[in-house]
Amino acid sequence: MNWSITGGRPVYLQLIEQMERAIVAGEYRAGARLPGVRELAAEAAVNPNTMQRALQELEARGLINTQRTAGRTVTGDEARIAQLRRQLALRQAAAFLSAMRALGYEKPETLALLEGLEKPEPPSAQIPDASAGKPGAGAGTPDLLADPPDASVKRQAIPSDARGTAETMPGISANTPNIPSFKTGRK
Amino acid sequence: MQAVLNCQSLTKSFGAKTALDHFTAQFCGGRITSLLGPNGSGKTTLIKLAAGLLTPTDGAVSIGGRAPDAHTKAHVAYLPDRMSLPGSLQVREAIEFFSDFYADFSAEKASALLSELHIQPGDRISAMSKGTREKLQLALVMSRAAELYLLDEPIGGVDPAARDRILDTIIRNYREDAALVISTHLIGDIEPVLDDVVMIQNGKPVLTGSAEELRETHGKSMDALFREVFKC
Repeated sequence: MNWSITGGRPVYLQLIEQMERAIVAGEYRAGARLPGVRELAAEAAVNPNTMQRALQELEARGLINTQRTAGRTVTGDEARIAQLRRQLALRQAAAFLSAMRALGYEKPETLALLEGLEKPEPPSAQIPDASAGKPGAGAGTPDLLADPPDASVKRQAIPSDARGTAETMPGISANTPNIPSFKTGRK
Repeated sequence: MQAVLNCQSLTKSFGAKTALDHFTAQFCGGRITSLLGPNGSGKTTLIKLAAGLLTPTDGAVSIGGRAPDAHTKAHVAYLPDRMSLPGSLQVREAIEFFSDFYADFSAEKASALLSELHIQPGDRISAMSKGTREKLQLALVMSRAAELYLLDEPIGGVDPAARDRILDTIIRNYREDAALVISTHLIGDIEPVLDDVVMIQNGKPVLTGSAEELRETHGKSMDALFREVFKC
């Protein structure tokens, strides 16, 4: 279990988040015994009172059970854990879409981008790199995971004579307006 | 909550210099409090007053309602900011020394702890590195089941890995209902371990409260808050 507690946010919230992720990831298996409060606090290098608070909240959320003699265990309720998994996944997806929107990608474009990630097009379909002298551009295959877009790039319509003069992303029609152009192939 | 350590308008002057200036604060059982402040702010003076090593110029300090005396010292575990045991001592002799002095000291616990820290019973203090000496003193102090722990700069001057180990030792070993007072200027390391914070400047408390509440109120870490409060 890798704890990562930072100073800027309430510690007990971070503990709850990280334990929830650990439960969903199976690091703390359903029904498994948890170490004692002090042990967990020492592992996470936090105050035992704070760890206690986090564990109490997790119990209130039905993710942990306390038995007087046996100590604390992760819930054996697989359905509850599945519910938590879905909850965390939804939160993660919403955060991702929000971050993409800040880059100018609405949901359809984001979905198209994700499609493109799974099935990269063969090199011959690519538009040659319009800027001369860029090293390692190859046949102009855009590296979808290359440097993030230039912060100064503004949203612009791609002109209809874009082929051969501008870089475009595969899978997105040159007529699609307002896609920021990406620098490619600098890896 | 019962205050284990109570400071009422506590003042200590050394000649013209006022090290602690009408300092009022309470430290409760079961909570870890850090005294945060720059060098020379009065942290060590406060701790020494609580340990009964200094007498107040004005105001009062009490432990469990009593002024510091032989009785309170039996329940107060003080870790000084420098090595206070003779260099000629071997570790096993230091353990005997503590056993003689303190009824609440557990030699078994100390031996186990020191073994974990890779400190051997035959090691001599004068031959130890600074970090090892710090760990030795800490292990001895934390092996006491005290009502009040006063730790003066327990992680100052040691490498980051040793710091982690020291904090781990503190968390795992302090008596659950005891009050822990840790003075330090290394806030970043100690921050997640704290319940409460007392920021002290020129002998006066400038900001006190629960660490979590301060984080939420100010929206920043104690480290960032410290830099703000103590901007030079």
